[in-house]
Amino acid sequence: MGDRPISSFEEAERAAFRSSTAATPGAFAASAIATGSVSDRPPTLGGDPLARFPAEPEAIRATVARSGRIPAASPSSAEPLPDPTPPVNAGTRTRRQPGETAPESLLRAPAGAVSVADDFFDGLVRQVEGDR
Amino acid sequence: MVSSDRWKATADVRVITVTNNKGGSGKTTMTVSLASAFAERGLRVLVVDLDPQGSATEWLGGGEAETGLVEYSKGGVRIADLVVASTTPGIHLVPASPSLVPSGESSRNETGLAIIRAFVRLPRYWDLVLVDTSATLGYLSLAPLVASDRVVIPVEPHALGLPGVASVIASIERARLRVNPHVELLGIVACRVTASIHAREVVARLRERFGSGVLEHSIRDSIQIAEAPALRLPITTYAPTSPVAEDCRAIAKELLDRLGDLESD
Repeated sequence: MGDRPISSFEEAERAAFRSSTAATPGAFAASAIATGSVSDRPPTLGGDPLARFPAEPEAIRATVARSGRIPAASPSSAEPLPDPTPPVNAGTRTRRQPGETAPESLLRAPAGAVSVADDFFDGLVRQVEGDR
Repeated sequence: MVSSDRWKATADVRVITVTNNKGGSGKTTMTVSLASAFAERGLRVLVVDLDPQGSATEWLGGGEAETGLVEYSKGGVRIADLVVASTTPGIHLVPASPSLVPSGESSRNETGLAIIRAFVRLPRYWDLVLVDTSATLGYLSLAPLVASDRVVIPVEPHALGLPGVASVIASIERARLRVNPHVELLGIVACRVTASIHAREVVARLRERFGSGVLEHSIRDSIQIAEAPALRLPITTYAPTSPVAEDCRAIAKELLDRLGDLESD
């Protein structure tokens, strides 16, 4: 192995072009055909990752406290209060049944996955054939 | 069906796509770790980051590139402008680039096609090309299947991680049927496996369902998986004697053994 200088890539690239007409840039001219059926969405890049959180931690805390998930903090009661509600499944299940951890339904492709793939692949074929 | 050989990437280069249509399944961890373990074995490896989040790019020490595969496919970019060195000897990188995400809805298929064309144009320099993909089922996860030889599916052993595996396998089947009959599953790898009963049961369920498609080795959960990217080093370099690094090496060997078996078919 070795880290050949980058210029080696260029030499190899030129050799690849010479040896394969399929690798010429003009072999696949892009067209404007697209199915528009795929669902990748642009990610949110850049910006302050904390920007979505309002600068009102007390307000958030109060809202959450009203919802009953955590107690509100106050100068006089810094320790969280114990939650009197027992876990919903406490003591009700001691042993899972075979297949319960990963039921068959989780091992099947989600509905729509096949059609998304077919739409994309068929769109590629149409696009290339349309270029000819 | 059109003749699919023209989609195939260069014959001497093994293109392996690492994908799962579930976020957090360990795609980037698997890609970077495999690349490093392969490089340790003397192979020349190219990592192609097709995830616009650019996690593999960050991990391997690359910055966001102004130009990428899409521009390269059109012939206006030299390979030397596309490929950058990584923090690890033996690994080169095609960083994520803004053009992976087209601005218009109608451009997705064009971008997917440009990515495929770029793979066709890659020179025969590297022994293995590893592709890190976006989790979303769409052109960024499907286009690599058209240009790949093999697919590795990392999976976090949680019940809700399983549908992503099934989704990728369905996509491979559709790709084989329509555009690339060469592409095959190389292996399903459990990633970040804990000692919990649930994790063991999920892995057992995977083996029951997919048989030998599931690798014998897995990557255990370790804080070093979280620490290594911060230093921009693969796990095998950051913690070379750690058990999790040994996991990565064992998986690389198992995959190479499988590739060898496949080559002799």
